[in-house]
Parts: sequence; C-alpha cells; structure tokens
Amino acid sequence: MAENTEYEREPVPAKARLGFRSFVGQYAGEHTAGTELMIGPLFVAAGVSAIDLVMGLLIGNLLAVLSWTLMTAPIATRVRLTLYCQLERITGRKFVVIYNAVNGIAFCFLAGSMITVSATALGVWFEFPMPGLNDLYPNSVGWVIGVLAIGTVVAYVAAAGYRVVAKVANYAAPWMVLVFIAFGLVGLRDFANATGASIGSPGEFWQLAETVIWTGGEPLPGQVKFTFWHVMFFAWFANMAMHVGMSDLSVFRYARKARYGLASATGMYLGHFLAWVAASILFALQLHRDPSNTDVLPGPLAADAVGLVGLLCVIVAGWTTANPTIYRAGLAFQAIVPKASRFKVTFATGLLCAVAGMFPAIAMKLLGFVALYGLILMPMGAVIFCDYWLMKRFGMQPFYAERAGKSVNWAPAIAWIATVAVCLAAVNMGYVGLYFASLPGWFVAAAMYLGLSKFLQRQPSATHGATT
Amino acid sequence: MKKLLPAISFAGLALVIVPACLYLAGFTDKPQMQTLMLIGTVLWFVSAPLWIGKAERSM
Repeated sequence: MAENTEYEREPVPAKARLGFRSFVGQYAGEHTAGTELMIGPLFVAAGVSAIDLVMGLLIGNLLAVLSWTLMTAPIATRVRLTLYCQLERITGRKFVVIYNAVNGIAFCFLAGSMITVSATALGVWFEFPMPGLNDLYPNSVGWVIGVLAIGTVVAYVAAAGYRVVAKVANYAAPWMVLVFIAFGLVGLRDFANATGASIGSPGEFWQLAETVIWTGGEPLPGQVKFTFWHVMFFAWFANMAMHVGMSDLSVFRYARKARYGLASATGMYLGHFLAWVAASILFALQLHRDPSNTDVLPGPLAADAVGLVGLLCVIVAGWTTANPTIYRAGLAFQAIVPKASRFKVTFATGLLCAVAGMFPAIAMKLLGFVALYGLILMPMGAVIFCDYWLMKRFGMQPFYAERAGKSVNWAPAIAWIATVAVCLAAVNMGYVGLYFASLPGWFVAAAMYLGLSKFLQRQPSATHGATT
Repeated sequence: MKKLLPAISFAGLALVIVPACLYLAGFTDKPQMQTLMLIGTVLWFVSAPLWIGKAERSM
C-alpha cells in the first residue's frame, strides 16, 4: 500500500471521502465491543438501580452523540487533518511529540484491555487459567500465549490501514449487534428460569429488573457506588478522548459532511446501551447463581449464554474495537517519527498493545481507567475547539505555533498540564469524583488556553514571524 | 447471484437472533438455539464479504 493513501500529513481530498454508511459500520462495530462485556458487569458490581441505569445511559449517550456531532465533526470536516497534524500547527512540533506519546500510550492500554477480553474466549476453548477480578499480572503461560496470538492478528489488520479496518467492522457489526442482543434475551430467560419469575409483559420484566438484576443495593467490596449521575457521566465521557478530546478528528476528516457525526448514535445506543445492559444481565445472573463468583470474564459469560457463537463474538468484538484504537495509537506514534513507515509503526504499536493486554489490571479496573484517560486527553480537545472557533473572535491567531514558527507554543502546553494537575488534585482531595472532573476541567482548559494565548501573543517577540 | 447472496446473508442474521427470541419465549431449548445461531453465523460470514464490498464499490 502506498504511504500517502492514509493522508497522515495532508488534508483528505474529496476523492477519498467516505459516505455515512462507512461511519455507521465503524461506530457500531467499534462500540459494540468486547469491553462492553466488562463495563456492563461493572455497573452491576457498582450497585446501580434499574431506573438509574436506563435513564443515565439514555441521557449520557445522547450527550456523547451530540459531542461528536457538534464539536468533533464540524472541525474535522473543515480542516480534514489528523488530530496530530492539527495539534502540531497549534502547539508546535516539540510539544506535540510529548502529547502524542501520552496519547499513543493511553490508546495502547485501552487496546490492550480489548485484547485481554478476546483472550478470555480462548481461555474457555483451551482451558488455561484466567485472571480474577483483583489480579494484576498474567497468571499462566497459556494466558500469555493466547493474548500474544490474538494481539498479533489484530496488530496486522490495524497496520493494513483504515479502509481495511472499516471493511472488517462493516462485516462484523450487524452480526455482533445481534449476538449482543441475544446475550440479553438469553440472560433474561435464564434469570426467569432461575428465579421462577414471569417475564411475559414489560411490567413483569421491569419488576425483575428492579428487584433482582439491578437492585440498587450496596456495591461489591472495593467498588464505587453508582447513581444516575455516575451512569450518565460515565456514558457521556466513556469516549471523551474521542469526541470532546478530538481524537476522532482523525476519523471524521474522511466524512463528506459534519452531520455524519450522528453515525456515532449506532455505537452509543447499540453498544453503550443494549450491549452494556445485556452484559450486565449475564453478570447479574452469574452472581445470582453463585454470589461468591465475582470474576468478570467475558469469555465464560458469553459461552454460558450462547455457546460457540458467544466465544466467537467476544473474539471478534475485541478485535474490531482494538483495530481502530491501535490505528489511532499508530497515528500518534507516527506523528513523532513522520518518516517511518505507517505500517511498521502501527504493527509495532499493536504488538505493544498485546503486551499490555497480558496484564489484566487494566481490564478489571476499566471504568476508572476509561474515565482517567478521557480526563488526561480532554484538555487538548478544549484547545483545538477554542483555537478553531474563538481565537480570531478574540483578536488572536489560530494555529499560532505554525504561524509564528515556534517549536513550542506554551499556551496549550501549560493549559494541558495545569488542567490535568488541577483535576487530579481535586479528585485526590475528594472535591470531585473521577467520573465528573472532566466537565469543569474542559472549561478550565479553555479559559487557560485563551488567557495564556492573549498574554503570550502580546509579547513583542511573539509577533516575530507571525502572519495574519 | 446478485439477490441470492444478500438473501443468504440476511437469513444468516435471522438465524442469529430469532432462535434467541424463541428461547426467551420458551419455544426452544438452549442447545438447539446455539446450533441455529452457529449456522447463522457461518452463513453471514461466508456470504457477506461476497456482496457487501462490491455494493460499496458500485456506489
């Protein structure tokens, strides 16, 4: 494949732009993922109630779709550059190297957790010991080999390029969605059989949901109690790095129109609603049958529900999610070494993800990790948003590093580091929960970027070399 | 073939979800449901790549 077909360092031309359906498949596949089989059960472990879960997911996912549609896609379809190219023009080459490294590493951990999930399916087949809820390190040779085998395949496909990724996701997405729905249907019947409850009407289903599945009681030991607000903010910010954080500029730069951001609704309501609900039913059933079995292992959960198809689904779901995540991580690292082959960089990144996937700690603490990585990457989204929409209105220059010929623009650099520091300090001191800190953090980052830019662009030396 | 392949694919998808609905309603048992879902999965993955890519290229 020719190196310039992915347009890493140039705007995507009209001939390469994609239609709405490409994004429907991409988002449905990416967000109906193996990790949903981790997240759904963790809601149950957090003692969420039925009404809090349903309303929180409905509203939180709507906010996520609006974030993609109104914040990410409009800039992506106007500038048509990757996140990394755009940041380089704003922050300068030297700073973006650091940001890209952090971004790439975060995506590697996330993709690693997806490979972890897929490997739990291999564990059912090959019967090697698998990690428990509190395990941090790989606990068997079989586990290490299983993760490496899946990771190598995933890495190769991701390295083959975005169009291949989109094609694989398109094939798998409709099937995966139906299998996830089947998880929920089968789980419900098994619940009814186990409890003797009737589920012949919506009222009876809701009674089962409230009294047995999502009871709203105390969380499992070591878990944070989840309310409506936790669920809503988690659903909104689960992909914060991608929408508010603007990572999906790299995806929507291919979109013909900004309204294609609405395609993300397929991922949110099929994946982050139906799949989470279905997965939580399976885990609640496991707990109902054996309250001491708190292991969150998607492979066994899926196999118990629908057999071999469930295992295939866990592997494919982890794979199709890991693909675009590794692709994004590869782009991040390639921006550090732009002359390197994108194939080699992405393949090496995928192998790094496989190594991360051997460590189950990330997958078992996925709720917290997802919130944390969104928080860390969010401030640069605020910078890009302000740079595109507000800089000229406030009498300042957008893409300042490029225009002024600076290798580091300190305004976004300080805004990023200070925002993350303030948010993490506020979380550690108990002023705000990890799941909520990103919302005020966005405004802190935006205000700091604009204020610092106003100050720095007034400096006499700042105007040297700048053009309007 | 132009219409047959999509028909096979959609039949495959139906075989993935309908048995689960029947199981929920109590009309089938789990092993039978799982077998039908597996057949549906094979039908989908064998047939879908043969026409989905071509349909997109002809757009």
